[in-house]
Amino acid sequence: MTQRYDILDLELREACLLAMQSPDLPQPSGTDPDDELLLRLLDGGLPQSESRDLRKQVGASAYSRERLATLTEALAEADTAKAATKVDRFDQKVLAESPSPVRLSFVWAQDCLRYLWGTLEPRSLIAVPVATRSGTAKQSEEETSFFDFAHHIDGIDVVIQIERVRNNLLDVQLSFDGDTDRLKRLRVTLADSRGGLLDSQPVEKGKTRFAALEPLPHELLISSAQKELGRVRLDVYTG
Amino acid sequence: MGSMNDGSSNQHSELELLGAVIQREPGAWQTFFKRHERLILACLRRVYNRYHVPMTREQLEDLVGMVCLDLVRGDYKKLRKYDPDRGYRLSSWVGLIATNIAHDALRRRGPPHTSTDDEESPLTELTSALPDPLEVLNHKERVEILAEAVTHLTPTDQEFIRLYYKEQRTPEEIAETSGVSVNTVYSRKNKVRGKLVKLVRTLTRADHLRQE
Repeated sequence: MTQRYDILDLELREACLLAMQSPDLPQPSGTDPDDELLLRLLDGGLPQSESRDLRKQVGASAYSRERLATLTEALAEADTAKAATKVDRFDQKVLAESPSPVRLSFVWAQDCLRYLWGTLEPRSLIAVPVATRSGTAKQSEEETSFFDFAHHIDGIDVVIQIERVRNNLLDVQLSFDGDTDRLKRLRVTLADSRGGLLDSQPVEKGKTRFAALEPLPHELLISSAQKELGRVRLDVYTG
Repeated sequence: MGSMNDGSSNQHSELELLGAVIQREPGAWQTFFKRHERLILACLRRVYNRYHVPMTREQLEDLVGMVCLDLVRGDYKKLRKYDPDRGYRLSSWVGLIATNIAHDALRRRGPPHTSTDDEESPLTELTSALPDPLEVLNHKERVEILAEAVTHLTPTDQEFIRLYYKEQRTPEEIAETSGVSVNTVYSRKNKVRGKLVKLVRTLTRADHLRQE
């Protein structure tokens, strides 16, 4: 997006940074009011006299004052009745990126894989305790979770399927649909969170699968003739 | 400031949703997250912008993940603790969690710095294209005069350039949050630039007169 700026714009941006100096990052201290009191002050949940005293206390604490100011502005800005758009999620530099990387975050909690958040919506929001590719699972301690996501990369439809399988491991399958000749040239590379190569497979019959992965962050790089088409980053947190 | 009496039906449905999340009803967490995503993002970005710390997409995603994890950790321990009778809204609480996480992340990161030295800054191209010390000095002077001119703008114009230049919001974003068209944003930008050019001329003349 640099092309949006001419010389005056660039100098103006620099001037803004100079004219609108940032405050120092405040440090918490032992005299800060606790979070609950701050929230009650913000939402009018305190009697007037307490509210007055607390305002003085907040005024004297840069840490509380800054957080309260940020929260007040953010609450005014963000209408919780409206879903976030791409613009809410990412700034203009990110929106200019093509193709946009996919990120999917899961939490491993109580023997169940739960979808936490991501840049794609799961096609089914249900963590299903039913038979899936890994076979029939028991519902309680052996609860199996399965999620699938639809994505589109460079004219190719991609379905990403994540499944918790036995022994607390994950299966990841990518299915591709598009021009047959293009699909034949596709390759998917699996890397760990530091970019270390773990595996690399061609796409056969429109599919590729990585089985029995440790519940750790992984990255999948989709390429064609050594040209990167897209990336999928999987985060797995322990909850 | 909101009142606890505001939107009681909304709060009611918010509590029902919270109950569904804690009961692990299918899809409840996703609905809860969707409802609060804008707020979480706004808190995270505002904290970083406040301290002039540039944030990459990956960092923003990491922070969103940390907020989510904080909310779901220990079988929704934090969400279970929420009590509407304590006198604050659930959304305010979620927002404060996001704000605290952004503050903690900045603290771990070390002292803040301005993005003028940042690799991704468009200014890098400009400075690298100006190796001549005299030119660099002229550039520095122009920026300082512009910075002074900025302080002479109206609060409305200052807010606009803060969004456009300092926070680098897109015209589409500014149009959406300000409730105006994208064309109006461009037109406002040109007007503010025009005002600044006039102010710079006035300030430069005054500076020359002082020197004489």
